Amino acid sequence: MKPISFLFLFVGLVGFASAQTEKQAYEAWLDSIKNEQYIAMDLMLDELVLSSLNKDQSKYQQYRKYNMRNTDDFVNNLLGVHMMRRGNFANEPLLRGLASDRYIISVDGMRIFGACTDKMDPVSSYIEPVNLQGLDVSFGSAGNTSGLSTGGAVDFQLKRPVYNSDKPFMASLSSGFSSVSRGFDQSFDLNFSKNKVAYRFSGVHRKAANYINGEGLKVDYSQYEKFNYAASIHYRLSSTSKLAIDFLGDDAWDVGYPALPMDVGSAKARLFAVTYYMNSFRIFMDPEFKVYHNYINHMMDDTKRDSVAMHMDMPGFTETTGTYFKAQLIESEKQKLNFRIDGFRSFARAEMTMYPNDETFREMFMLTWPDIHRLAAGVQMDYDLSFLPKWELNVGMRSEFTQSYISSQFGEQQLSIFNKSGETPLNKWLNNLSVKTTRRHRTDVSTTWSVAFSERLPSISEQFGFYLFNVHDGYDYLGDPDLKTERNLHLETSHKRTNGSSSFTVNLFGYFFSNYIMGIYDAGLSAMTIGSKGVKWYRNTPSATMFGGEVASTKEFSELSSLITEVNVVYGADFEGEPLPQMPPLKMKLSWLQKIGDWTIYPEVEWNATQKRISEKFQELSTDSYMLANLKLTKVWKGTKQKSSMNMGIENIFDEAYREHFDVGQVLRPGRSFYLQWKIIL
Amino acid sequence: MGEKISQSFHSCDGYNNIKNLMKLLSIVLLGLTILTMSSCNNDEVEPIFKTDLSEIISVTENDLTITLYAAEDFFVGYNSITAKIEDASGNLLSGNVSVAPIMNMEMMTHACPLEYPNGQNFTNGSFEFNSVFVMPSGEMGSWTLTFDVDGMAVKMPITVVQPEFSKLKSFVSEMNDASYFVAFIEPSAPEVGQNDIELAIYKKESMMSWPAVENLSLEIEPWMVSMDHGSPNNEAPVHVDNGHYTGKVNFTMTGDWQIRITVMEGRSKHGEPYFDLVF
Repeated sequence: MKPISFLFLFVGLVGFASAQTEKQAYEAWLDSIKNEQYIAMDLMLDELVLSSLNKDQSKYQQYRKYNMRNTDDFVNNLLGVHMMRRGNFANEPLLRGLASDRYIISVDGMRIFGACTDKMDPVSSYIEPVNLQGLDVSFGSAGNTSGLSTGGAVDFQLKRPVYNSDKPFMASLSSGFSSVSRGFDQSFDLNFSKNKVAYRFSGVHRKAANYINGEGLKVDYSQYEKFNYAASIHYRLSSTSKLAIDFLGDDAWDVGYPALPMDVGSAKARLFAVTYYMNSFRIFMDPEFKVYHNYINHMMDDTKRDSVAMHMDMPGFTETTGTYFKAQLIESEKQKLNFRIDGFRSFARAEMTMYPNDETFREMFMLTWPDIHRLAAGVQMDYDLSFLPKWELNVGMRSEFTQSYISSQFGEQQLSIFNKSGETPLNKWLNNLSVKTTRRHRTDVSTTWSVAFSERLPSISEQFGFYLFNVHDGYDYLGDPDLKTERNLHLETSHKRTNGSSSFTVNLFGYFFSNYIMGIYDAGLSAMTIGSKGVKWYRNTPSATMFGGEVASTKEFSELSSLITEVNVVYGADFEGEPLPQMPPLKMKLSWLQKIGDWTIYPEVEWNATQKRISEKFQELSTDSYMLANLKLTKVWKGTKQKSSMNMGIENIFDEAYREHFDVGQVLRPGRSFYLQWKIIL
Repeated sequence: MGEKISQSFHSCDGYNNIKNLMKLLSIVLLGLTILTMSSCNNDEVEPIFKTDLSEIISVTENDLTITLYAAEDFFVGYNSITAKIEDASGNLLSGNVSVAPIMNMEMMTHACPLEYPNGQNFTNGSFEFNSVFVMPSGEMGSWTLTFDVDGMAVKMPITVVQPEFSKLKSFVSEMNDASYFVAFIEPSAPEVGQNDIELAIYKKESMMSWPAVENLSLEIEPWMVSMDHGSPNNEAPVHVDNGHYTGKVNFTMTGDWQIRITVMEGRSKHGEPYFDLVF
């Protein structure tokens, strides 16, 4: 951290020095700044862009985002995304029912990997809404922007400091309370710009106690506390180039996971990035070059649990260093070509030390992630063409070379038990190709067909995990170094029509997986973890199939009122035709948006069908249908110099006792909650 | 012979003949090399005694000095011992030797299993033997090793200790009521992962007769007692030679392991000894 703070200081000093020596040029400079195309134009600090499959934002999302208080809330409100819970913190996004092994999470195009073998820390848990400029979600094999996956990608775009000569200092403060967990949240966001330099600092503190579920019972071990802080400096090197330094830190501690046998003592993430932006360079337009490094230190803890079969320490660590260069090669009215080359190397280690209750026995040790190294280098092209008056074509491809190996002798010995080895680097070429055509019937009606193929590496747990206990099905899991890449042939069609502020979208997709990786029970192996039902190997299964779709419609009745409808459905079958685990049932959401003066009233009803298509292989139980009702209110005061807003509402008004089908464990979600949040923007 | 070779050169099977010739040549060359090397040794280099083991005890008797070397102090279990045998002036000897380990107790004496891995002849003063001490020295009695080097006897009192984790287990057979002794030889330095396991099994026929048992079938199960689980993919030890059984044992983690053994003969069970291991 120290060198980084020096760097910040240095860049800061340079900025002020130039202010003193070039006072004359300063005035002219201010005017020139406004004309540069890469200046972040959004001056409102709470501006957030949510983009989903169709990369557009509708009007209602703006209202919706006011009322979202954490990143999980944001992600959950994207069409086709569900949030899987292990507790009241760090929910794992499911993209059309697929969990994090199958998609890529990146932050500003940077690869980063959670450091918990039990997936307690999806990368989204290290990002706060106050840091977010935008969020980009793609599904399936299409639109893999920073790596290759079969289930899609989520990219969090971090907020950048804003150059604004009219308003060199901007700030926002916010504070909130939620009754169900007696949770208090505070955040601030500061922006300075002077001369060639713009700074941004933000901080968030969250603390919540155990929440109360819909049966009125306190859910033990669901508390959390966290602190998130970010700093960013942009420095203009010339009128056409800019250097950016970004830092993000996140510390969570005393985080409870009621669905799991363990909690988290501390989880620390640090992200560093240096980016160089230019207007153009030779044949490249908008070139962007980034070097980044990040690490996560994750310490599980069970010392606060009343009864544990055996006390364990399970620290995990990941570290990723990478770079990318991206630019536009062609930009004309008819065609556009974007490209990106990138590379990263990552390291992951997780260990488990078990302390027997009988102190005459010595503690036991194993490496659950045995010093796993991954290297990847990829090249990516994205080409858009309008080839007929009403037709558009988009072709995307990505090719990636990857290498995986372990460097721990201890880990190699562990693998020797199964006559396997991970010392020799395992090389894999991964490829992705997607073709999409859009026909614009009229300016406001379009139909899209797409075919995409992609493959992914096994996740590090799937490839090298050693006796990882999965609470969801109660088995110990073994990774297999010899796994083949999983492939997905993704077909999709969508139809969209807009009429003023009303819109209607329907997406239908089919995923046809081969080498689908899933846990297969091995009756020849006996369980290691106390309470485990047995051992499963991650194996390539011949196939898996998924179908589903989303419907979203916004019907505007007047300037002041509109109705929003959303429907999500996913169907999944494994190679034996049995249901895939953790598949979300049919879900419908109905929202009404009503403006009355400065107030926006936003009642919402969410209905989930019963899920009876359960995976017996994964010991699933069927989940009952439930209905939730929420009421959200927003009031905005706009002054000449400041703006403030107040959000309040009731979530789960009828105190429904419910859980989502894909949630881990049989833990009920929060019951009725009142919340209040205010925000001042200076 | 030269004639024969030149004759066969004229035969049609030319390739094979060349091969044979090469074979012959290499044998001759090898022979020459060995001759030169051994003659060098005889002429120029004094016989030397080298070992990495630690000295345990040294006794001089009847103008003979015998020094014993081992990896650690003698313990109850399978001990690999190297002896250095010198005359009074320190010359390394060659000859024939026999060893008799005897436990002297108040009421009786008994021997223990013994192996000569390289036979009873020794050269350059170096002689190896393996002794499976079946009980520790102490108030019960004391151990003596008696060496007979070409008719000259050397008596050596030794101390045998009981290791923290037993390396030798005995049981009375459920089949024939005889006493069986199982010595745990490998893994001597167990590690997580796959380990070679080697056991040696003996039967006490009488106080003085402890033959190796070669017709047993074994099953093993490594067990983590504090968590109640085993480990996968172990290979049951099978008989190799002289009562030694080798196989593979796997450990998935560090800690206190118990290796549970089932000793069978045909379909009947002799007994179920176990060994504790901690690493």
